[in-house]
Amino acid sequence: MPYQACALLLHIVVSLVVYRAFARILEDRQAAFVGAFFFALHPINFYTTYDNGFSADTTVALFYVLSAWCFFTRRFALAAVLGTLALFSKEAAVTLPLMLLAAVFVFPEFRRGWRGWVKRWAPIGAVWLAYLALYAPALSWAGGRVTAAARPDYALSGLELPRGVLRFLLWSFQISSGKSTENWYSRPALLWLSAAIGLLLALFALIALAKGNLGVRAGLLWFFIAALPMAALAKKPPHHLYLPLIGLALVVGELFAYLGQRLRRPAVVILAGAVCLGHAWLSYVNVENDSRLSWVGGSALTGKNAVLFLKDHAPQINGRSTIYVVNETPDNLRFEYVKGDLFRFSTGLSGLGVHIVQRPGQVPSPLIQDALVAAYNDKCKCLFDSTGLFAGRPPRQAAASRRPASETAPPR
Amino acid sequence: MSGPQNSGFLRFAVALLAVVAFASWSAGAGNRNEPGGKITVDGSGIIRWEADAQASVYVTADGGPEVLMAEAARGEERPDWPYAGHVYRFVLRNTRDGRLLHSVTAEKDAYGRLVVTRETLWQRWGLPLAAILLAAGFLAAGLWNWRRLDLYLVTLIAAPVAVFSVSFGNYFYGDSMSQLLVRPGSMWGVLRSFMSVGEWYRPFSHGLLPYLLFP
Repeated sequence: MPYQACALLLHIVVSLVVYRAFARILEDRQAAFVGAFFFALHPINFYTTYDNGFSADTTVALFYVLSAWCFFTRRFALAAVLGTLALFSKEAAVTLPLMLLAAVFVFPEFRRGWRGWVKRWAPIGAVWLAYLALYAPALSWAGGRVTAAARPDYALSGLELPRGVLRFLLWSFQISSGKSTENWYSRPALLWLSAAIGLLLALFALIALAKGNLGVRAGLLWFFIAALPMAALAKKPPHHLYLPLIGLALVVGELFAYLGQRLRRPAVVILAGAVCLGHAWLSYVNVENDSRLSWVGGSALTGKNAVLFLKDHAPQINGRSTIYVVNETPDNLRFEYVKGDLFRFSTGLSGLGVHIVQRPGQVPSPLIQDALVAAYNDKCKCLFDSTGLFAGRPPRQAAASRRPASETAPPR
Repeated sequence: MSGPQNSGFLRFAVALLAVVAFASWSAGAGNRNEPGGKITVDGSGIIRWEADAQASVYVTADGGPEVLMAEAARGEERPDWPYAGHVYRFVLRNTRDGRLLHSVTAEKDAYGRLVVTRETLWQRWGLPLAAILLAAGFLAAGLWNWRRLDLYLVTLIAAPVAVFSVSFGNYFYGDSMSQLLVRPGSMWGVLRSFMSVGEWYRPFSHGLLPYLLFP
């Protein structure tokens, strides 16, 4: 609970900062609210608020936005400090200088006195150069891809960019695409509605761009520049959309600021209310589905059952024991999450660990369950003290056997 | 922001919370009692039902069409066919007129047992809470000078809590656990995390922050 609460608190702080920034840019608090609400209640935040695991996304967004804010309010030293904190939070902050540079060309007032700005770019430029120099040795370049030695599955490639950007755009309008969003609500009528809203916003953005609207220009630049490193990754989990989504939220806010200037106030309030309510409702449904049926939900459900199972078989596991749920592939320590039910027991460093090996469509047979119980009891004798807490070093994990499911067809 | 505008938006903000609450309540409506009969799934995956008259038990998978499972005023059954990863809804209907008597939503757990899909706090109390919020909001909008309170901020705090607190009852998963396991145990450890440059160099979010928040 405290882990989830802290993650949620961080997200709320980011949402409030985004709202304040939008209010300053749009000079219309209702439009700023609609934009910030679009960001705050987006279902990708199910992942960023799930627990401490995604704090990198929320903290990088917080410092990234604050750094940009300070830069444009001419507090350059503070901007450099906050930008450094963003870099220390997640590598995605590497795009910040590019973002600031692009924004300088978007907003005419920042172009004045650019000679003086060269000196002011020095702190942030020095930090980024030092960061790149330090980080570069950890990366390798092969076959047109940039790869970190420890994570070859997270290679960066320009060829991935179009697919990544398209996926980010679909996710932005709550349209399911690929892993981790497969359980989003997907009734055809709603899909068409989401697509229509997305296209309408795109149309508005194009017209506004043609007319030289600065807010839309800034929002789209933010989306594409912030998305650059994440969209180019071979793997594209939804939480990578967190930082780029702020840009699209600004475009949404700009749309309502535009409407606010042209329509009567009650009409805008009703429209804003309808959009926010629809967005919130759909998000709630998608989050509910994610919590039960996604890889997180699958892990949570299996973890919950593991706790019940362990309580049955090991009375010394009490309510204060920490149960960690890990899904670990057998060849390395890379974590993978797919639906399934098979798990094996092992130990963590500060509590009992239930290491899950999930395979789609497979369930443990009684034979495997018996083997698990035997393996667990065998470990339990030497590894857990009378309070159920860890009291020794973990042994190597026992291999878990697998067997295809042998179930009859479901009733449909 | 002017007072009248803010009052108007207060109604909107309160209505927003009310709709979210109502949506969550309605999502759990299938697990609540209706008069005339009751169907339950116990801890060992046995489905039991009891009705005042002749009743039919239907099952639907993932919102698909209803399939007849049994016909009797009362009985029990332990199906062996459910797949993991699917949500099944067992519906008890009056055989004569097809009237819905009760339903229960369940899914399969890691041991092949059917377990009732959980009902969140919002689902249980969402409707009354929505009604109270609506009434209080509309009443307060007419009585209070809202100039001092930015209701946009209030909504931006309350709405994410309402929607995303669903994960409060869930368990950790791998990345979170690994981060907690390797988090620094001292300030020296925090400093070392800043000095250890390499891939996944995130000393603030993975070092200092967990050290401060979860020492």
